Amino acid sequence: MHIPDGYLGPQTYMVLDVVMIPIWVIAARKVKRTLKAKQIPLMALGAAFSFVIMMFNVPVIGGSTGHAVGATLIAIILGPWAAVLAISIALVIQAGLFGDGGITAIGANCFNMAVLVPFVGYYLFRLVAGDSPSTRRRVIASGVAAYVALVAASIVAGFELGIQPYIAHTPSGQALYAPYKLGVAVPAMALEHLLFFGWVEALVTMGVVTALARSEPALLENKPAARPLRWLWAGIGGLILLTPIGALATGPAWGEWGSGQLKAAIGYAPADLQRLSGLWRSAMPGYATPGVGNALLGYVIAAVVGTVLTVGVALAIGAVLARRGEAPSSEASPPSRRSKGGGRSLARKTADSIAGAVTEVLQNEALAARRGLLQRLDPRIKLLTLVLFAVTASLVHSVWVLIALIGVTIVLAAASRVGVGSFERKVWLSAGLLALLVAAPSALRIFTPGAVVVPLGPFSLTEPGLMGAATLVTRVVAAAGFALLVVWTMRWSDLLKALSAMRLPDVVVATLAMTQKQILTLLRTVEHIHLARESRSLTRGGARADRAWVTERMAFVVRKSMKTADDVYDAMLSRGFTGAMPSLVKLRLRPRDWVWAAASVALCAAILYADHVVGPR
Amino acid sequence: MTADYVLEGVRHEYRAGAPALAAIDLTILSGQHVAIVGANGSGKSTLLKMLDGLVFPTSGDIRAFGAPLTADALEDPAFRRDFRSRVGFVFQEADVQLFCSDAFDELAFGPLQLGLAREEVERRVHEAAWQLRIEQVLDRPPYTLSGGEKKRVAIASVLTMQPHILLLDEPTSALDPRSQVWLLDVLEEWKQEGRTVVMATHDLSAAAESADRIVVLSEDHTIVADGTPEEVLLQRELLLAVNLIHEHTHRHASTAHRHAHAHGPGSDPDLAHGHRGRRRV
Repeated sequence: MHIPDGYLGPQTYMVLDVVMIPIWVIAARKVKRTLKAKQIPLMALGAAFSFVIMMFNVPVIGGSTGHAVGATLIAIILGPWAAVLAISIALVIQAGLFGDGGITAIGANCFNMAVLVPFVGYYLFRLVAGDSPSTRRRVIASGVAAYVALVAASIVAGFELGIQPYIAHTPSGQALYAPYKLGVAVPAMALEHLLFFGWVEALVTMGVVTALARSEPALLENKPAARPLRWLWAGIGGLILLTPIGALATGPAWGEWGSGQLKAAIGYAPADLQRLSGLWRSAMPGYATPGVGNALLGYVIAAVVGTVLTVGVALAIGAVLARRGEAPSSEASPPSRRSKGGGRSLARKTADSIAGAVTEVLQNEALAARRGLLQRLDPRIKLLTLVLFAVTASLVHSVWVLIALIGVTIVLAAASRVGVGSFERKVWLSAGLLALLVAAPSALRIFTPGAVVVPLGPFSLTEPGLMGAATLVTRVVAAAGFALLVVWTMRWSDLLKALSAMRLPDVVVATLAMTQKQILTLLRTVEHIHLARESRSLTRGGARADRAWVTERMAFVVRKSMKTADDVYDAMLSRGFTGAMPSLVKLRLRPRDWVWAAASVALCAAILYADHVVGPR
Repeated sequence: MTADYVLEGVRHEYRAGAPALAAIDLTILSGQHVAIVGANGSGKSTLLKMLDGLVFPTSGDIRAFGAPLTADALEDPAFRRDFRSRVGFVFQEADVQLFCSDAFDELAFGPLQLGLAREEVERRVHEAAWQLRIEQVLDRPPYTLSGGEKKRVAIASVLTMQPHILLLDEPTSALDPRSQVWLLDVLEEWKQEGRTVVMATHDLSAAAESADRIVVLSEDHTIVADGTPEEVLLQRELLLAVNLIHEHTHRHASTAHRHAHAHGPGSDPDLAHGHRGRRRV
């Protein structure tokens, strides 16, 4: 559900970025009141735990594995407000350290996964579990809550993606951002989570809650931070209710094609579709009396398309994940115990992906220590200018200008000596290929009507469709390039110094610092657990046994995280910690920083001007 | 000689009915080097945390520098500042203790919390880094350091606060033999400087080498012996009873024999009958 840069237009991501600010402030106040000075280690470990949970492979069915977000679980353990902060921090670190999820889309991702899921999940859990001391009821409640919360968030994510074609398109109908309308985007996202990820989430949450109820029941008690703000609760509920309605109301954009329109567009109307369309037109003439049956039928058709898309996307994600961690940089090839292809056990798979992640962080640090163009710059200037470039990439309309921006990323990568080949490979593996897969069907006439350039009957490609797909892919690649430049040319400690010098509260910076370290420590522990299992297992267990084992280990990570939070807090107290985190950060801007800043602003302005001249409006 | 700590009838329970410490009477004089020894789970770490004002007695009294050491007393900023600047705690796991983004920040954390001026903080950081030979790693994040380097950074991060008392939890664990020797030298230096050192360990040889007093905690969380290393280490029956040494049977040539056996590099051959030099057949 991580939305990368380039899928959301500025009208959407900026709104959500802005919306998140008061939510973070409120959450920080609530957490500070209830946790006092202990908030830093507890948030850091909560975030580290949230991050690590996403690294566990969970067997589902037929040999397939997925990973959970764990957001409902964290909300149950920490309370919803603390969960907002912990998961937000985890998402920021994913973006800043691994380049997963976008820079500009950080608000949208946090809103979906760090606000919606914890709140919906937490209150649903309380509602279903009640005050009953029954472990069974709590376990079931946690599963229901986790499933519903994730699906609800996926629907909202689908909504955010689905409104893009309405907000931003060229006169010729070419999409500028995510190309699918609500009628496709919402069912596609919802279905993926209804059928697959929702179950992973529920299974994981139930497993961990079962294990915790046995070993550490105190963690599942009602959290003091639980008094909800009524308006927020109502607002979220309203949003969730409104989303499918909104999808239905605007759904006609998708379901509306009568066979006549289709005939005009495609040249002929498929017989089945004609019959089908007759069916629902007769039941819903001109939307005067919208009925449930019609909506359902429309949904069923949309769902079929969505499923096809989903399978493609899931395959692409699988392909990308399978290659993750493999040589993001030109040197220091990853551990050789990685066995290629299938037949890897669950434990080996997880251990490998974790080892890959740790290796990646260390390699990134090595790249950031090279003496290239960007590495020499002041971290604040570097961060601001690269964000400026990413925002510029989100504002540009012309494919050609976007291609020029990709050129800028390549030039910067070369000037920063990070290896252009590995840079492009990483950009495409982490974002480009997925965008290509997502965008490809939108070039079809059924999704984007317009002048046909490649006539293939029902699979004809239209000009606005092709241009829209190209726009999405180039935009995503350009934005991912700038995001990766941040990750590859800035050491984590420098990023923290930059944030600190930019007046972010020292508590936030300290929490980020601690989280990153705790993530690496926890990851190493988890890797060792999995390797220890691998070394002792002679036969493969079934999916059920594997799942039980994985969730037991996650419960272990919960306990270990909370214990470590206590220990770290003691270590801080011991050295006189008072709640503030003063720092000695001393950054001085040099002439080259100013030159670079001026050049970046001028370049971005020139790019936007050029786009205004050549781009479609 | 003044007493740094006085504990009277101290008991601590994490859960009701399960004491981690019971009936502890202990006076630690200024400048003493005390080793607290005991098997796993005997309450060593809890005792150290109590000396650092991180856990408090469930019943009984603890006084530090003549004043009661309680949670309320530590709420007072002046007392807290004074106490924290006088007492430094090196945790067993360096990973827990190193929570900043690089080694420099780690060393600067304590002095900054004490509210010292920037110049003074930097001076102390560089001095401690020089003492522990970690100048080259100051700009590195903790997770890129080796185990020995982590330990040095952890110790340096406490030294920048210039404490009079150093509390060390299992200081030699996770250190290779060379680093262990180095650590014992550091302890010796502190002795010369007149600092008080309290270390918890189950490494009897390290205790014997550096401490001038050994306090033995039993598995039922009480003090069962307290004296000079010579006095304590001779009480084999006692050490056997608290699980610090164990009976060990093995063969030399054709004769089997039993003897008490302690583990740890450089064990005292009188006490710990090592295997070296006995491979002749």
